[in-house]
Amino acid sequence: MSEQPIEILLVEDNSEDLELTLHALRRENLANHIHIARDGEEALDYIFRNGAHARRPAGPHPKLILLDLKLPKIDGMEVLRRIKSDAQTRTIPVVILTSSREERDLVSGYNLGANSYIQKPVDFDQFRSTVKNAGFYWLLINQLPSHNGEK
Amino acid sequence: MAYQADSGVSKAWVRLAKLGSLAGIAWGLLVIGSGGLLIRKLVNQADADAHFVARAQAMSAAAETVETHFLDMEAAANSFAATGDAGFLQTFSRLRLAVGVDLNRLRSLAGEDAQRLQRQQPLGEQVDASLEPFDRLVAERQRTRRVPRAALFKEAGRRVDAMQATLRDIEAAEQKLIDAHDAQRDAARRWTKSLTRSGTLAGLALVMIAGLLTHRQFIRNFRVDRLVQARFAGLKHRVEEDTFRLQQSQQQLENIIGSAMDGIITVDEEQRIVLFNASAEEMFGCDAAHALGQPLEHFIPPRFRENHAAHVQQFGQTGATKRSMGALGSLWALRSDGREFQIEASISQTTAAGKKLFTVILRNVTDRLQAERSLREQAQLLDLAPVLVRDLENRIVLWTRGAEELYGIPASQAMGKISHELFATRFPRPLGEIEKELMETGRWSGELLHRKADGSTITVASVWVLDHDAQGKPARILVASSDITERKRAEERLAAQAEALLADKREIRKLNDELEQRVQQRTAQLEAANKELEAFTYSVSHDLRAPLRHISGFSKILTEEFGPRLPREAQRHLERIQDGTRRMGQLVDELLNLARVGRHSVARQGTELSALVEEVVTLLKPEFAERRVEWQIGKLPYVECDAVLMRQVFQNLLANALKFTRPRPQAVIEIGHRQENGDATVYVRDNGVGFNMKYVDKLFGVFQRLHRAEDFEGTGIGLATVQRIIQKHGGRVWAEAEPDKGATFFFTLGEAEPAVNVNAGAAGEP
Repeated sequence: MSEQPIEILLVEDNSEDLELTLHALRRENLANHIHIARDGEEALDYIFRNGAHARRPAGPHPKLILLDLKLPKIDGMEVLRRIKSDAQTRTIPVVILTSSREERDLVSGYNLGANSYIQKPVDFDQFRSTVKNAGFYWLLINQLPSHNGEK
Repeated sequence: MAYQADSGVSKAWVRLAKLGSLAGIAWGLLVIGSGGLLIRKLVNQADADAHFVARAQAMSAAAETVETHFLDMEAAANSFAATGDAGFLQTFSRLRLAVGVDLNRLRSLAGEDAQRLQRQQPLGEQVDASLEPFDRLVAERQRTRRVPRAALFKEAGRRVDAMQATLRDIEAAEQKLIDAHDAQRDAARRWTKSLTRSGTLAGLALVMIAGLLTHRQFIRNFRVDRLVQARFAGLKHRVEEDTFRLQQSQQQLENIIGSAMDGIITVDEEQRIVLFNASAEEMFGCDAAHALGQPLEHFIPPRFRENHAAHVQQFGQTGATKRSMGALGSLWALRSDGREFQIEASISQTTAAGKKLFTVILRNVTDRLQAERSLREQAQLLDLAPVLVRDLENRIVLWTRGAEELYGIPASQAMGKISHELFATRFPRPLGEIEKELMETGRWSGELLHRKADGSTITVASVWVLDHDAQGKPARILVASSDITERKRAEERLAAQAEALLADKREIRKLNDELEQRVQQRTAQLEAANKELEAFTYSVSHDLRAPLRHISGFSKILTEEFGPRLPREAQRHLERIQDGTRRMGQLVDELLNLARVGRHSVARQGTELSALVEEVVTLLKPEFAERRVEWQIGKLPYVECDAVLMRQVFQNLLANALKFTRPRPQAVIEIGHRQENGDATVYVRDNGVGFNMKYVDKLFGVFQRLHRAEDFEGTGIGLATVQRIIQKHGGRVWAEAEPDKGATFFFTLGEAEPAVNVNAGAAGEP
């Protein structure tokens, strides 16, 4: 799995949410190239090859980051801000996937350059179709610049 | 004296003549026989005649004197009555006495002469009668000090005529006697002449002596004659003069009556007016020509007539004394134009030609009485004011009842006292300065402290005015004071209150500042609390939804992946879990929604409501896809509103309409608007199950539901959210419904709502 290019970085601290999200992605065959980060620091380390991921081989950036907002250590917004403020990572589509429906979060998310803001529906069917739609859109339909993620 | 001496000589001569005559007679008897006897007789006769003539002349003169004195007295009486001059009164008194003396003399001259006595006999009474009216006239004048009535004057002239006639009779009778004597004397002279012619020389001489004597007598007689004639002429002249004077004085009297300021009215016994002077004419507005002959009642107000008649009768009786005069006092009189006025009248009664006459002198006193009344009232009013007058030595010379009341000091204790000592006055500045100002400007006013009788001190506002005497020299000081103690106290109280108010105000300002501070503190606290609430909401939204989602997700996975292997009952339980989580998710979402609306500030923007409604209908399509629903969407206005919130409103209202029309085979949902009082009222009407209007109050309450959950699912938050959004727009929402007949929801959007947009109709149908 690690040999293959990572297509989705899933940043999620909640194990239940993580499992449900993976279940949804798996069902749509989108879970093959997923890297999971359980907090903000780990997510940033992975993207910027720091800490535990300092020796991660060079390769393309993930095609999509699914980012929860409420995260231990470094919260989702900060993660988003750092990704979008770095020229190397700015083009990675970031979809905020959160429980929060706070307008404040929505606005600041978009202001920081989030590409989508998806509230996790309570209903699992809806959740599943939302995750599916987002994955399809950003991984299969959306066109990114060819050099995206290339070092 | 010379006459008496002459008379003595004459007697000696007469005696000598007698002796001569006797010798002559003796000689004459010799010479001419019987002639001597005749001569003697003649001589005797002449002697007797001379005596007789002298007496007649004296009588005549005395009668004349009576008349002269009387006429003079009459003139004096009239003059006194008309003018009141004391000189005339003296003359009158003197002449009146003289008339009496004259009468006595006339009587004594008559002696025993029966004829003469008879002639004189009526004179006494006539003179008395003639004198009496003049006495009355004079007494009237003395008593009233006014010009007596004309009638009195007229009356006074009337009785004199009889007396004058008698006097003239006497004079004429005496003149006759004298004339008769003259004739005898002429005859005697003729006899003497013829005797002389036939006498002897001696006889001639004697005769001549006798003749000489006779001649002397003749001369004397002649002198008396001339004297009598001169006296007569003088008398005549005086009578003429007196008559003229009388006429004049009568004229004067008439003038006086005519020009008298008082009204003078004379009535006879029948109360008919016989005299009505100019003032009366003016007073009653009626000229004499009309007034004369009228009853006096004509000028008396009807209500007093009876009284008047009684009074007249009483006066006629009690006024029996001829000169009685009654003051009638103040009365009412009636003008010919019907107006009444007040008079003061006096009445007097006289008798003329045996008939009573009443003369009323009256004066219009309406003005005077009024003036007196107002003066009296003024004085009474003034007396009520606290006023005093003091002389230049500050001694009190006038002290009103008002002053007595103010200071509690009776006039008896105040009069004559030095006012400043009496009041122990305390002046605002040195008294010398105040007095200087008073003397220079004639006035001073200011506030003083005075001590009252009870020892208490009062503050008075005092005005001093300098009063001058007739020569213009300062004489007195008028002082008017009013007690302003209470006012002063009130002012002080007010000042204290104002001070207190000011302090209060400062206190209030301080409190306000504190309050302001506290408000700021509270606001800060509130803001903090709000932030906390936001955090809580956020937390709820995030943390509450997550476990729900997990329950939903895992139960779903369980159903899908292990469902076929589970018993049927377990499958049903899983379905219940699914439903429960879905409902709870919905509840949480809507609650958060409501909370968010509360914090949401309205961002108005021009919004096409029709488009908004179509959007919402499209959004709701999944919910009615399998139902027959007729949408009647009318033209809706273009309004200034928060489109996000307004979408929520329509969403909730239309969802409700769909929900409650579910039992209908054909749902009809109408969305439209109407203009009411210039406001656009938007409505959503359905043909659903409706509700009973008695529960309409509960309709918009949070968690309030009018239907059972089994019949119609719901959270009871939707309409509360609608109401909050509409209220945030400054509008109003209400509903009308009837069970089973559908419901209509209305709302307006408040002020910033402009007119219907012309583009509204351009919005296409969904």
